[in-house]
Amino acid sequence: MAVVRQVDVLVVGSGVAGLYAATRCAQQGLSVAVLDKGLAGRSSASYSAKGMAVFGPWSVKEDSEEQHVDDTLKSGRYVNDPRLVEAMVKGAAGGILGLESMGMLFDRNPDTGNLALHGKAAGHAWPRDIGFSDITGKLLVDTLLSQARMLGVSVLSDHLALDMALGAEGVKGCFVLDMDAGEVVAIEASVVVMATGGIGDLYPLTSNAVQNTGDGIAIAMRAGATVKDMEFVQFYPATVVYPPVLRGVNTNSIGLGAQLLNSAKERFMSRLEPEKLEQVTRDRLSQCIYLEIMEGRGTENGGVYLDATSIPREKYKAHFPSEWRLAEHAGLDLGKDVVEVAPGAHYYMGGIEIGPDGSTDVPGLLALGECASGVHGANRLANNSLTDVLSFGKIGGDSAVAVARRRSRGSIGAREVNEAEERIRRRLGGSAVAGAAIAGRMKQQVRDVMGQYVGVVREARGLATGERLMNELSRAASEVTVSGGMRCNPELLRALEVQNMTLVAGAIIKGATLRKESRGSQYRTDFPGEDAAWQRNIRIRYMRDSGEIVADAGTAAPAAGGEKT
Amino acid sequence: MNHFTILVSRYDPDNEAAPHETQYELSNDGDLSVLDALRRIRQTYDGTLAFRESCGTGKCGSCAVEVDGKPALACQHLLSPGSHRISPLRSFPVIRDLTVDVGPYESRLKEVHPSLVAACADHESDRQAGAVLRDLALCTSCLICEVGCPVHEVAPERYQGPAIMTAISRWMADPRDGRDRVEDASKSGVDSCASCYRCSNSCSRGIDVFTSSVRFAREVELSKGYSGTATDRQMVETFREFGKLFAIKEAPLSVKYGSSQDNGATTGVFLGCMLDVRHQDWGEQLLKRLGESGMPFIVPEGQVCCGGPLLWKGRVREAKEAARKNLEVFKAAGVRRIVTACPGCKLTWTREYPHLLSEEALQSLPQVVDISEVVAAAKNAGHLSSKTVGYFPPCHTQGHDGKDSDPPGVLLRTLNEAGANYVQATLGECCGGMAASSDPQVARKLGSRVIERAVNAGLEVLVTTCPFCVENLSRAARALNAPLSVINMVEIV
Repeated sequence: MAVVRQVDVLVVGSGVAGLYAATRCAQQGLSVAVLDKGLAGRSSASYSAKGMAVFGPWSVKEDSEEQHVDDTLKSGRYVNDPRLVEAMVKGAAGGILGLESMGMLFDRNPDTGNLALHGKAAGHAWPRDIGFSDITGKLLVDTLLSQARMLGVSVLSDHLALDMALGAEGVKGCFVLDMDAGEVVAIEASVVVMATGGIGDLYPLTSNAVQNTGDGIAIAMRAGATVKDMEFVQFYPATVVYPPVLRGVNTNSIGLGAQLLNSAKERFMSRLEPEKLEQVTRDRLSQCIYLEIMEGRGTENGGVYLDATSIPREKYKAHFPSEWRLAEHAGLDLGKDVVEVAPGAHYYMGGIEIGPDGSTDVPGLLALGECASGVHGANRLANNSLTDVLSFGKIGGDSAVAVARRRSRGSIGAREVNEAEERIRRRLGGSAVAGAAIAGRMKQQVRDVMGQYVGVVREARGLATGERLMNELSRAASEVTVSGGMRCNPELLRALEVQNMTLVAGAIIKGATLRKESRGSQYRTDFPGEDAAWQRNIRIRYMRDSGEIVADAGTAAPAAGGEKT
Repeated sequence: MNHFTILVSRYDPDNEAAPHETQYELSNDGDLSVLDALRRIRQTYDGTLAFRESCGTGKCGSCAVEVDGKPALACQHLLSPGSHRISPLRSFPVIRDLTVDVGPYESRLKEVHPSLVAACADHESDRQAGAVLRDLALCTSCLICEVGCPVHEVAPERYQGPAIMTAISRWMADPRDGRDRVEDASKSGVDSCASCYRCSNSCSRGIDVFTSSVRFAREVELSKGYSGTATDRQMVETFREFGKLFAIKEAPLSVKYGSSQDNGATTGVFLGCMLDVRHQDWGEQLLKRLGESGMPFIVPEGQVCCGGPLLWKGRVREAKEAARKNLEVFKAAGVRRIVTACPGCKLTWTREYPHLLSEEALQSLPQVVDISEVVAAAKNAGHLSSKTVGYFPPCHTQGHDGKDSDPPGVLLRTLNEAGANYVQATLGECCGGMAASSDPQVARKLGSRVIERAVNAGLEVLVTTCPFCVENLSRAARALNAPLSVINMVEIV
């Protein structure tokens, strides 16, 4: 029985970007559904975000929107799309009041009554960090999710978007696997908003949620959308690898003065960066730690020691109260115990190419937040992620309303739905060994290849090997059949995820290989310097007929005129 | 190398009639979290094992399951080597294996409108969000507190549970909100909570759920003119008149044996309302045993109710008065260590007095121990020879690590000496005693459940260390005509 539902706007992903867009649409009278492949409102990286950078009436008088734009472009190494940067910076402050009226909490300065500035993050000329304690992202999600539900948005957990349904005029909606019911449904929509976040789970160590496998980017690619800046993966230098219960947590103590020690307990940064030590930029720090580990001076768990014992306890607790509590709960005293860290995949600058209104080159498809590209260029400035989703959530929501009002909703026929369901059913039928975690193992293999060949440090031979291995995995993924049924089956989910992951990974490797330079988060030992000739973006498209990934390395990036190196 | 035998509840509703347990063996060097164990089982034995996870670091609350019958976050709970059972959260429909449908919770949550209802046009969030709001903002709806709540489990129609209360109190504590959240709290059964602290002890984010969600709502209720049940009001009046929760008819033991001067002994006895007034036989027994132990002690005269039952009902002012008076009396008597035989009193002194007293006063806060920590085994239990005896752990003896369900060593030794047959049985987490004054029905249900389980386990005698538990459980045993006697440990030790 083909199940087809109708909404005006279908949002894929329930992080801040998706929920904010959904809320805006619902506030303006449209019918909206939000999908999440996990528990809605709890399966995004937004949930762990600590603060956001916003220029506003609370800022220091020397600061300005222009400064924030400049800092963002500089961090992005001038391959950002300046229109998107302007839209992000200028759209943020206006959203704050609206969020408060929905119930969002912000820390305020008791003397001035203005929002409290939490500090000056690396790369920002002036303090811009606002939020609530260190749980700003969580509260944003909570607030927007409650609001969305109150406004009648249909919030669907355990729903995996499979592919978009396309017609002659563009997007008609999406085919979705309802993992609770164990069936494929089609949702017809005038607009599909992709807000699926980043790709952290493509790597063995990440601060992202396990759900972040780049599904939305892959779906957009299969629908013909152009993706851009795919090679730029930001690594957080000090992500916990040990103890296991804290694996994936991004530590914050370096900013407060913590030190890194190798397996010989040597403070290796005094050798690599004698002047700034651990206080270099995040990308440089990631490279140093990565190289130290690769050269054999890492711990047994594949990390280096992070020693925060010299930081006064009260200072640590005051700055990062929930991180302190988390560690306490795990039986750790961050003032005394030493954890092991390594660079973890943290943020994805690449993704679906968008215009300043969130539109893509597929009619009816918008993309917002981390799954879109162009805002952050080659390297995201600290705290700009929540700023991005705050601005584009609103812009995207309003844009979706406009598009929904002028586009008619296409119709998805029963035959199309049955075909979509058949494509899923063909994955079932088991393997030689009942219950074998075949797809699970493939996912791990994808992650191992990415970690080894497409990580913090890259070079031509490794990238070529990575490409070859990824092509093999991609072929295997398209043919694999798994045990179990349609309902709540992790093997089926993994098989579908691996298809998405190999497509995205292929594009990342392609971009990294073509870009013969180091810029921002891309570091190549065979091309260690920044090359002005590469101040441009690599666009990639997936050709459905041939199954090939085609790249276009274009002309100089629109940010030409910025600082030349 | 550590070995683990993990029994996981498996259920495929499309192909099976009911859930069943499957056993898996794992080895690991070092600690193993439940999540890592589940991932390993999935990798090694069955790729279709379904369970929830997301952040993996304790922040999102997605991965809650039951470990050996207790709800916990899979990603944070470390397994000790040996055998463990992992099962889905019991009160929710199972989709597959360990994955449950939390839709029923979301429907109930909707009823309490968990969103800002603006009181006025000024939406500026509070200049300095208060401590309660900061605490509650951390909640991730992991539902560990709801699944572990004994009152919600036996009477879900009377008490919506701590997770719903947290959602209500988060907005009650937000000065911008204009909805009548007190009405929501009342309808959700805030008065039925038995103040057992289990939610606070099990919260995955370290929130003091009972204090910030339930007690806070009770305080706000009172401030808005609600006066409590007749029994509660009586309790306050009795406290005002006698300094105790029970009317004083004959001299309390603290007057009979009390001294108001420092006699050089640094150990002081805090009798609490039960032993000082209502059950003086237990008080006499306590003092006798201390005397036999040869340890010098003093019973400071002028001690009042610890303030706990008043505090738990939201009467903070009265609780502070009690705390101040008690500290004054014990300080004047030169006491540095207090011995008590009531877990509720011990909890109030150690956990709540630091919040009720000034920084200065806290300088002289004595250490507090339970009688079981200071006496050696006795030979008073001869009458229990060859009887089947069990132990009920009072809710207020439970801490954060959940290991406090074991009977005190001195009790086991005493029973052993007497030739009694001690049997371990899982009887429940709360006798319901503290709910008796505002929701007798809940108190009865909880008490009956413990007695039924005790009888099913073949117990003839049930020993516990809390006077309120003894009362409530004795009442339940009588009502059920159960062939079981409930006694206070202080009677035999």
